[in-house]
Amino acid sequence: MTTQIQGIVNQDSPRSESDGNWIDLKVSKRGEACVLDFYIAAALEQRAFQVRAGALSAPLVGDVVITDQVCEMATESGTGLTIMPVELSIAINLGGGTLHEYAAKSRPWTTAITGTSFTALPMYLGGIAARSLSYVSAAGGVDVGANEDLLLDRLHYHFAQPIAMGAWEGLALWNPIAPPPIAGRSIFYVQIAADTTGPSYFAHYNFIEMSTVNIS
Amino acid sequence: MAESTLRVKVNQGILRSDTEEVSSDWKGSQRGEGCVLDFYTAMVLEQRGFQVRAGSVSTPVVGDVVITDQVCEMAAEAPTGLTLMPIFFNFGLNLAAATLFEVALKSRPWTTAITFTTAFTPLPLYIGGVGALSRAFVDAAGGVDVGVNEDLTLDRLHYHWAQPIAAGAYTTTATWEPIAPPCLNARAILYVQIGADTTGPSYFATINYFELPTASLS
Repeated sequence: MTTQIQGIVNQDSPRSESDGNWIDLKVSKRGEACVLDFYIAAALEQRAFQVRAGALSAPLVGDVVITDQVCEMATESGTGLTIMPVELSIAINLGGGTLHEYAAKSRPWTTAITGTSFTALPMYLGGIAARSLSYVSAAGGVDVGANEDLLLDRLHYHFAQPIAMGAWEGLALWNPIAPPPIAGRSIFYVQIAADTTGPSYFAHYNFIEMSTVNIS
Repeated sequence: MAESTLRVKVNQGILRSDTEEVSSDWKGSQRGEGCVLDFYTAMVLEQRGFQVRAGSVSTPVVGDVVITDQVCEMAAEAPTGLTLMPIFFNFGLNLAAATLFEVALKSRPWTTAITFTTAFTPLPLYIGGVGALSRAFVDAAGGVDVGVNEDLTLDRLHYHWAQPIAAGAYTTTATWEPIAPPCLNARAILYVQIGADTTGPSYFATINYFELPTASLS
């Protein structure tokens, strides 16, 4: 008894089949089956977006000190929408304070976010716009509406450092192997703060957007 | 014209939402790549990911002086029939004036009941998702007792971070994200110890893990 699976070698001229049509499985000229992982598929399908803070030589300045209920960056997934943060980067270029804390958290929505709106950038240049709402503001200028609650808020990543910037690496990177599905209505938020002087930072996070009905 | 024996269905614009036990066509890109979902992402989307955390806002938890046998700062217990797979551990120290720092993530077969002051209800990583079947505990200064001393022939050491000197010219944040997560078949205990000499380190910490029925594994 044998099993035979064949694909179509398609290396030179990529096809462009329409939605809902069957298409022969692509294989390499050596016969390896070509697959597309969930994240690359989402990016190609224009479901990935970016929120960023700081540009060129102008960083934003974080909070003094980390403060309940407020943050520097946030995204709200509305009802029926799920966002999945897949990357967070925070680079510090002035860190004179002490007790640095940089954190990525999420929580169920309680009340409307206030702060300066940021139109999330499609990771697919020229792609469709995000349905979620994002906010970016210095020094705790984004208010998520409720204090952190250990029974509600998820702590996805935490960077802490007791001393002023010196011979420690001022870069916090979070690339989760299992990105949390933040099903709406919910909030993903980032806090960046230190004691005595707010850290100056360049930061961004990328997230995938998907209708919740396609997940559960 | 050449034909394949395996075709996938292009579905890029409007995603499908089939129900359980229904046959669903294999999703493909418009170029013909077969779309796949890795184990980790499938688990979180199926609401099998949970989190245990310590410390919030500007209030860290203070660890032990010194790291002490049998006790820990965070633990999760898999009951009979359940398997835990820790997939992520992250901590940041925001006060670290002591010396001989040790942060360790370990697991062991269950021997006796965990004793504790504070139970922690694991947070579903899928917000609004189903509750965890495992039990978890979080406490400062070695307040969670796993019941027996560490045994080199029983306890697995998954991650260990150590530093001999007070916070200075080194990064006080670390993350563990294993490519092959351990399978803690129940009854079993996953636990975290955070300690230092002379003064307990102040920390914020998170463990994420998957829960799966053991029957689905072995």
